[in-house]
Amino acid sequence: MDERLPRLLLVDDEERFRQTLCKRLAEMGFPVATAGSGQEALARIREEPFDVVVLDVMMPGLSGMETLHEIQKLGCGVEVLMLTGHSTIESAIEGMRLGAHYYLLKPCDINELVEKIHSAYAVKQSRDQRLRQAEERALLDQMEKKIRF
Amino acid sequence: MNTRIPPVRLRRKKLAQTILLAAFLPAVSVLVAVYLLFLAQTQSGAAGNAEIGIASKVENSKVTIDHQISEVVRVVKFISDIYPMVQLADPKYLQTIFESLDQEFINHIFEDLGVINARGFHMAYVGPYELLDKNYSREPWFVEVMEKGFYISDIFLGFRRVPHFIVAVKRGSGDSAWVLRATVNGFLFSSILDNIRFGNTGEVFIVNTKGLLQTRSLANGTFMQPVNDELLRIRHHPGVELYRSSLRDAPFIIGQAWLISKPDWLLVVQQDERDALAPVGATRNRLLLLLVGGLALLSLSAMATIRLVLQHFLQVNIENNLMDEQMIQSQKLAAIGQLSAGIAHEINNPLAIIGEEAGWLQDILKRESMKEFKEAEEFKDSLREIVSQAGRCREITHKLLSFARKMDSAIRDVELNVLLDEVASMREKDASLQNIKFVREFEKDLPILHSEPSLLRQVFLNLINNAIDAIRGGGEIRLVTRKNPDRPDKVSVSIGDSGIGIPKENLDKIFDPFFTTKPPGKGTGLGLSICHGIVQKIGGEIAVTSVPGEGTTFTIILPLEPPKDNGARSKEMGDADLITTGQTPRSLLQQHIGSAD
Repeated sequence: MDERLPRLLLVDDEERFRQTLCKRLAEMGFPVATAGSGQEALARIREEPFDVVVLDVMMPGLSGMETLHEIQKLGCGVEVLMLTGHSTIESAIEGMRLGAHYYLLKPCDINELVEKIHSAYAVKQSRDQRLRQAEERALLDQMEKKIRF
Repeated sequence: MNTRIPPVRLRRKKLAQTILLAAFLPAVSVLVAVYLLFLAQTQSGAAGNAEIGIASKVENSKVTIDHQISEVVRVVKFISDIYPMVQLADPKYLQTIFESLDQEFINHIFEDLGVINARGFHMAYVGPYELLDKNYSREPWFVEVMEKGFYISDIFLGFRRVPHFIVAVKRGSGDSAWVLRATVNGFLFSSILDNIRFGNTGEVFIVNTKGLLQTRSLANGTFMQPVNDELLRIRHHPGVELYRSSLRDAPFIIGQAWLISKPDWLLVVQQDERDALAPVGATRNRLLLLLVGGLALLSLSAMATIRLVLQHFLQVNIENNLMDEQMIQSQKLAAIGQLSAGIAHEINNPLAIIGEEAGWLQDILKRESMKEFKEAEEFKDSLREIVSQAGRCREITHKLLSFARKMDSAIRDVELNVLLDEVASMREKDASLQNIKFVREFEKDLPILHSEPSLLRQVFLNLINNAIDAIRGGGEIRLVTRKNPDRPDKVSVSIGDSGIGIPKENLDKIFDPFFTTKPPGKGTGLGLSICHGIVQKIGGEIAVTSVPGEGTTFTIILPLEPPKDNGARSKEMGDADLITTGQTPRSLLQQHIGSAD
């Protein structure tokens, strides 16, 4: 099991919130990057790998839901936590149906957030591990085939 | 719920006025028209009618009087013609004749009968007076009759000092000539005319050519008095003369004609014109009375109609008002819900930032380098408070948002008694610590409801919590479920407490959002408005009765089937179409603020 902390991408249109939360998470030792919009987030995800994306549902431009869609299309296996106001709980739940890990009500408690980040990361790690095992298995199968023939 | 009467009253007054006007205007105009027509008709006709009346009185009285006098004359002439003087001079015989004469004339106007010789002495006399020794040779009437053979005198007093007139006939000639004289009593003669007086001032009297009264007169006095010549015009004329004259400002209509039987007597009929017109006035008064009576009757019936209409109107109005009030209440709640959702949403972001900033500072204070910082404890304390207050705000905004939130509408079979019992059990233990007892009065075979159990739970829990809060130092909470015999498609639940009650002035505010009597921080004032919203959403009604000091009872009437317009209802609640319409909370908020002014 990889003991390193998950790489986080914080997506929120509210700059000060984004920065402060970023500082706090960084203080805890997380490697954190931020994005002020859905588009920017997608650009960052294409550039470098992240483990967990904390995504605000309500944003101007590309909304949280749309961004979630796009992230999923990229197929990079990143876990997404939805940050939502109360009135957008439905879309947050819809987001979970589409593959988001969980939702958090905004303003949220940092400890709760960290807890959810860890659980999301755990899911990602286990999936990554299965993925790796599957890849190894596939590789082995291939090798076996090659040896036999 | 109080009904607002003033606008009803206003409308009521207006309606009453309209009906009165509608009923009265045509009626009054018709009546006034009739009255005016009558006045026009009578005013011109009345005077003419009065004159015709007087003229005909003159004719009639003249016939009567002429008949009376000529009868007297005929009889006197007849007696003198058929009886020889010798017989008439016999007092006994004359007595017999007088008696039969007296019987002939029902009004007994003959006073006496006498036979007088050529020298003016009575040869015989029948009558009440002692006249046998009187000599008439120098009396004017005697001279006249001796000269002309027949004479009717004017009224005079004579020897007897009683008003009378004489009818005398001379028979024979020279020294053997004799005169039959009959005397007519003035009073009795006059009474013939007295009988044909009319109205208050209408009368008939006779004057001679000198203007002296030959009969009594109301206006002019008694026998032989002169009539006022300002009033009367004594002149010779044929037939009936009609004219107007006035005496002491009293206008008189006068008709006069000369008699045939006694050509120097003038028969006068006179009447005060106002008196003559009085019957017209009386008719007018009767008509006026009729009109006023009719109007009174009309207004009475109009009033009765109005009262009936208004009663119905008021009833409808009260019902409408109630519905209006409920409508307004739910619309108000929906609007406030939307507005507060917008506000909550807008506040959420800054609140999140505040929380994070404080959290960041707390994080920094945990660093090694901060160990040296003396005031660190003060800072930590203060920051904790900031975080906790931000948390409190968060609670409020979350409640606000849940108030406006779209509920998941999962309709399920609900056994109301079971559900209520569940909710009650959740709080029963806590309540028993405060000496609060739960009393369950559940209807046994309550029908199964198709409703949203989670919402019902929320409502009941809220009401039970309120009930517990209302009770100080022990009491009971009564949970009652009932079938409604009047409305088989509804059931009712009531939750009553024996608590402090709600003052009357607060009763209609308790469902308003943010209305609370709890101290700051203890209640948001949203509980009952959320309950109200929920009950409305699931098609029910919620009502409250409260007596300060005795307790409060909330009654919820629930339909067995969910309302059909559920979707529309929840939209009204101002929920998550924030997203579906693509509007940002800010623009919605601006809309609300904009439409508020």
